[in-house]
Amino acid sequence: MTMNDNFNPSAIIRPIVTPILGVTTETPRTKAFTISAPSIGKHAVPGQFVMVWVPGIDEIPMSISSVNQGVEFAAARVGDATTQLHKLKKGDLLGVRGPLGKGFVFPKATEEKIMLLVAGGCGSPPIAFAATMAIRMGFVVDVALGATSKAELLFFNRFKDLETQGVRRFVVATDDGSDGLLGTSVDAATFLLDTDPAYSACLACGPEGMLVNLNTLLQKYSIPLQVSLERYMKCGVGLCGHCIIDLEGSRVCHEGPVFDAKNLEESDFGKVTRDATGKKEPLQFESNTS
Amino acid sequence: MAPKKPAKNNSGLAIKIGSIELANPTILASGVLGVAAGGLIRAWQGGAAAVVTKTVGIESRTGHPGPRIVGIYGDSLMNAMGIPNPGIQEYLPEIESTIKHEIPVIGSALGNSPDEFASVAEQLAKAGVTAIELNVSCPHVGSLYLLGMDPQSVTEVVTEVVQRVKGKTPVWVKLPGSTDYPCLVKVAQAAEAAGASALVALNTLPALAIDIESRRPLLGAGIGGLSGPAVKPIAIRAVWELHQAGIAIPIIGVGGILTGSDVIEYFLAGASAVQIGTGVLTRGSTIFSNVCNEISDYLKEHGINQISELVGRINDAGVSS
Repeated sequence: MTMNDNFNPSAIIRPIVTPILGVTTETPRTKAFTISAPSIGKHAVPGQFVMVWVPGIDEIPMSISSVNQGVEFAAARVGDATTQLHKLKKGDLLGVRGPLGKGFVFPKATEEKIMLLVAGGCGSPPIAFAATMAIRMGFVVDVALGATSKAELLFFNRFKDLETQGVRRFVVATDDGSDGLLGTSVDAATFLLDTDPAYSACLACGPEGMLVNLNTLLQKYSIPLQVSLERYMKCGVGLCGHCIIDLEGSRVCHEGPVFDAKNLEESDFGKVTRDATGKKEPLQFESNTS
Repeated sequence: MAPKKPAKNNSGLAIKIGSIELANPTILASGVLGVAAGGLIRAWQGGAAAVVTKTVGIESRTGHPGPRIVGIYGDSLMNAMGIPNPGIQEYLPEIESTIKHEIPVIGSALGNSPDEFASVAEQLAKAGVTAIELNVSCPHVGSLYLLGMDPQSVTEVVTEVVQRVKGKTPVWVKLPGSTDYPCLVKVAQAAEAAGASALVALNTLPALAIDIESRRPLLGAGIGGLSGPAVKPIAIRAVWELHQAGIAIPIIGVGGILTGSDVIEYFLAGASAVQIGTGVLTRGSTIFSNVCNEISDYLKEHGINQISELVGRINDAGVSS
């Protein structure tokens, strides 16, 4: 009697409370945390997430960035829970449950094995995990990375290191031009597409406006895009319905967070999100369509 | 994107809750999938004959901090959502989008006073809900739980609501999760006397779970409500006690239903319909149609034409409360 093959009630609805194995400062506002949770690491695929319990504060969804030496996630300091999280050190306790949701689907081995990965802002964690996995699966991988400034390019060194292992081209863009192209990750992706548009798939994570603009761009090339979405999540397992984005009842925490962009046309994607009360709020961003 | 009406060919499952006719006895419980119209529609497509909304009040609520749910053995869990809701005005479009597809919607209301309950109920009624369910029993919003355990307060709330919706929209009362059966009977009698059309038994049970590493409660709110198979025998006892006590309005059983057998058990104890919530986690949103198929199998195997024939038909000679 299971909801799906990966359903494991104890792991997804009860946190594993365990000491932090390591903390690294990745950008001025982002730290990566590694914890020991073999039962999660063993089953996790890129794009899936964990609910991270910061004891005494809150529980927040975090994309998994690596499962190499424990389960790793990266958190920017944005609210109460992440501010407290940033104060924690090696040995402090964290709760974590997962892996949750559906991750990226990698194209079949028979297809053209060139993939475009695009990460903007805080969107690097699942893309870094996906890059590692794609290389292991034998894909040729190009990466477009964008951030506000050079210092905020999350996991820059990690992507750079992957150039020796299977990343073919790595292009960055910054809003202030302090590194790479002047612009966003979508501009970096445009640069890559101008050179060689023969991608069999594109996987992306970042601010929703960026994902909308990337979708518009990739439609011109007929390249299938998978996007990892972010919504206010409360239960993380598809029960409460807080992160539903369409009239089919698609839950970002359960059917997502990764969706085929082509299936999002009649959804809230790029249009509205919900706050903690469930109230709808319009999403605002600069569009590249004119 | 108009949702397709699910095929329902299970004969013998149609039931009535007072004046309300439903195609089968399964209803989506409040607090599950109900934040958005899409969730309510999803449950209906999964076979629910009616859907109960997220509980809404006059003002918005952000709810409790996380963790908001935690697993407790097997398929049972605890939650302390804290009734997050955007307030009735913001929520009405979700109800309207659902009703548009001819889905029977039960509007769940909360309030800080009889007047607030009635104000929410009036707006729900105006939006065209099939019935109103009064949440006087959330176990992790202290004032509400206390309200539902006090017959006098329940009388005041139900009286005000029934009067303000002018008896046009049926009013259901969701009873608190409790093993204080004599108190539940008194509250139920108060609700019935004040004009309630049905009772929903029970809400989640007040509970506590502790993480032994951090020595903290596992839920952000500390305490929470227990749901799932662990509470089923308690809720069935409550339904039976109410039925035994001569409550004449329909009783809707809720708590721990995963299969058709569970529904039969509730009916035998005295329920006329059931709600399913936590089971959606275990069997997905098609649990409703799966459960209906299992009920049909039972009815066929036992030569019973209508599930409603089973209401209160427990062979309880020798059982006393």
